[in-house]
Amino acid sequence: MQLERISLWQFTLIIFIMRAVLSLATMPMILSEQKGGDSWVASILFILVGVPIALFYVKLAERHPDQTIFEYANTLLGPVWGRLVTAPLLWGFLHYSSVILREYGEATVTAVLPQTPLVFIMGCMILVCAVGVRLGIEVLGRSAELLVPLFAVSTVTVILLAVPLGELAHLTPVGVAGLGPIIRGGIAPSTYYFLFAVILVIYPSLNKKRFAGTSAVLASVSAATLVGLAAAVAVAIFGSEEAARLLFPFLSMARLVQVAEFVERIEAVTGIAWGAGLFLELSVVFYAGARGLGLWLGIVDHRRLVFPMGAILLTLSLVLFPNAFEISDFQTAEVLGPYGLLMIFGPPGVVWIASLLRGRSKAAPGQNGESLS
Amino acid sequence: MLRRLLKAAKGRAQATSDSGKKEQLPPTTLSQTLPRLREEFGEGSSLIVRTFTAGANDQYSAALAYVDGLADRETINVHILKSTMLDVDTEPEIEGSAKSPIVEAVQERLITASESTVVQTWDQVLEEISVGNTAVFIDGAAGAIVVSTPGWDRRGVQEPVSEAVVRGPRDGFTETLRTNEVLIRRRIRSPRLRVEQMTIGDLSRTGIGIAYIKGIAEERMVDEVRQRLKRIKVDSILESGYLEEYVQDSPWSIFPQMIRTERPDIVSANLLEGRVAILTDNTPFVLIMPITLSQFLTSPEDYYERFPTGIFIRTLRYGSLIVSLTLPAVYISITTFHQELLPTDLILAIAASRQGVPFPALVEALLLEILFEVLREAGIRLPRVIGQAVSIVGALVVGEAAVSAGLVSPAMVIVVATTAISSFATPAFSFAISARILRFAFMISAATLGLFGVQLLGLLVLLHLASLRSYGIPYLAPFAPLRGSDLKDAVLRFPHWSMVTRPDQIASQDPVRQDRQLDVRARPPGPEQASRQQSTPSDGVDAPRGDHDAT
Repeated sequence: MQLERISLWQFTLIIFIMRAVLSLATMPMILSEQKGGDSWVASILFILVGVPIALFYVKLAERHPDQTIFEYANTLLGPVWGRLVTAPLLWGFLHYSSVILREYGEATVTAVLPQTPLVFIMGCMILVCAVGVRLGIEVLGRSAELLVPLFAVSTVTVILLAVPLGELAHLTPVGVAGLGPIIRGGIAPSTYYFLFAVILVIYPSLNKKRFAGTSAVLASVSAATLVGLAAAVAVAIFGSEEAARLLFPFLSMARLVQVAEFVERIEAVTGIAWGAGLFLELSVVFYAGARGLGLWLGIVDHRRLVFPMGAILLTLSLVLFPNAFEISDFQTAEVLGPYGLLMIFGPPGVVWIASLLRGRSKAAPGQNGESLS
Repeated sequence: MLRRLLKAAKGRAQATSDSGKKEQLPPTTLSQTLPRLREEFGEGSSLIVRTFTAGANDQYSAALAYVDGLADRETINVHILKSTMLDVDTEPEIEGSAKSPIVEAVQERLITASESTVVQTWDQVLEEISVGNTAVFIDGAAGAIVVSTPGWDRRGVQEPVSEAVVRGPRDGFTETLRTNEVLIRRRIRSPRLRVEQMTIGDLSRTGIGIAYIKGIAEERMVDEVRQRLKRIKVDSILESGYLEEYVQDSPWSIFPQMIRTERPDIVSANLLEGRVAILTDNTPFVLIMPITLSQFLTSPEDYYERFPTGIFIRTLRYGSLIVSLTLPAVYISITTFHQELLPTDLILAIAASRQGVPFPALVEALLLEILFEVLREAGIRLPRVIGQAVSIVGALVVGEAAVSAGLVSPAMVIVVATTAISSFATPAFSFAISARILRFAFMISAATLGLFGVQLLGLLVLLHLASLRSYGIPYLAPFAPLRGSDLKDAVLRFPHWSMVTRPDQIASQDPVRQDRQLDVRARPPGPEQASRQQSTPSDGVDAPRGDHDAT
């Protein structure tokens, strides 16, 4: 199978979308029980949390630049232990993508199609994603170049237009209950950095591997800033208590935006742009899962796995949560925190230790050449 | 089953190609050759055979054969008959020798036509006569002289009908390959412009020309085009559209992967950017490859008008492409699913206009859209005078009557009319058709799932576009993958002096189009101008090069 190539810019956009989309919709940082301004402070404080995580993944990938983690784990740890260590990663991709799918389905049902069954909407979505995954990371990367700017521009527009609606009083008081609640509020959203693990799968496809770390960090920080700002504005508008009750604070925010009595109720446009971003996020995670599973099972062409995996994903996303409010409960520091942190650092950490012991693999000659991507 | 069928078909194809005869042309007497020739062309054919005697002392009896109407009689009379029969008095005796047989001697010394060859097989003789050349046989000698004499009635160079411009050259390609090549050569007067000839089609023997500029077009690309054309084994190529389906990258895609044009200026501009063109005999439509989506939204006028005009009009075109794709779909989904999206007054107005309409919005839209497509089709096929009448009856009478009868709402008529006008703003007809077909898909998905459906279909289309390639070049370039320098000539059209490089990946052999110096721009006369003119020789820059021919 010909190795697909993505450019550094496409890579950056993919990392950006990994961080931005899902947390923008649900804003897990303002869901928890903090009072007053603590929630938005948490989202701003935790902007930099993505940096070490992104660097962690990139540095690990750089040790074995021509292989995915599912390949070099087997080389380093042996076929059995390698597979055992990377299995949680596969589960992580599957689990997180079903959460994303469920969020998308819930948002669509809530915002635009209240009478359509959830499973139908999610089925349509996963079908489109499956097509994208079958076409490969190269096509997804190119789609990102069109979709991410659309997403970013519409998000920034909504945030800017929503600023005048906020009240500064909602942003205070800060830190009344000490640092504890703030940190606790930051933990849950930070676990979404697990999605950066797609780096471990798509890094070999990068056509120029220099500056991969820099761009991953930049993407992570800019995405986190965008989401942090959105969260702060949402808190300013709704107040922390009401914002925590909202299922999709960002869409509610978009609904309020009004310009000169002409541009109003733009949540459909926002929803479409956000949905496009979410489609991309889901497809890339799905791709990482399918590719990983293919390598894990020793199936050369991962595309055969796409539709069966899609079916499993759809089922999983239906059975994970009985209703939309359970998703919010899932995203609290107590539940998601330990699980997410383990997923982020566990399997890659083991592989890294093995890699430190066994040495890095040499870059194959000619791998850094340019190509048509 | 299918595989077996294919295999059988392949076997048959092999058999036919094997049976092609390679019969040598023996040294025979004319009394044997000529009946054979008549027999090959069949009873009552337009083959003309003329026997005559050639040489100073009429020592050779000879015959020539050509197809009436395909060959130019004037050339035959002057350069074959007259030169071998009359103008030979001063010539010494012509003797055949072992080294130079009589046929070659006659060809070299008597035939005065500029292009002639000696052929040795029956096959070649028959083929050459079929394409309009004249074969000359000499009694008792092996081989035949073939004189190039094609000449038939051809259409003159006229203004291209399907691609009109307000500003720009008015000449268009014709049905003759040679004329078309000349139209390009007149624009690129350099020996680096190559037009490679080949023939495709066992029966049609259609002439094909692969045009490119050596040193700009990538060898790899030209070679790929050559290979793909060589793979075609078919009986006939009647139009470049036949070729297009054989050589495009994704045969199942709804989007065209090549541009076809009848404008020599478009072809020249593309050749200069390193692309390759396929000229086909008997059609004015020339294929250009590799292309990207942005080129379908480009009109030559963008480059001829000043650049602010170009920027404005192109932006408009991209907008109208999106409108023509999605406007009916968005209207359907808003009226059916998301009434809350529009301001209250507007949605009330729409609702009032839809009052009494018996159909759902989708049926209403399909009705009007199909009516419109039929109208367009009917208008193209009919003679121009009647065509206008049809469009008046269709658009005005039927539309007006449908509204007043309450079958469709006026709002829908506005939507469909806007869509139709927008779809005409796409300069490339082939691409506009793809958008028209997709519009129906968008309408149906909108009626099923509202804006969500529109979004899903839009994502599918985007994925498909992102996966398409035209001869290895991504279809969505320069947007995705992003190519900074090529964005100067995509949605926007930067000034000519700022487009320093040729398109990335397409012309990587010779990427620089002009000097990077900013001095190519004109400046108001001032003290510095004199020194500027001295310091920069304007080679490579499009300096005025004397008067071009006025023809």
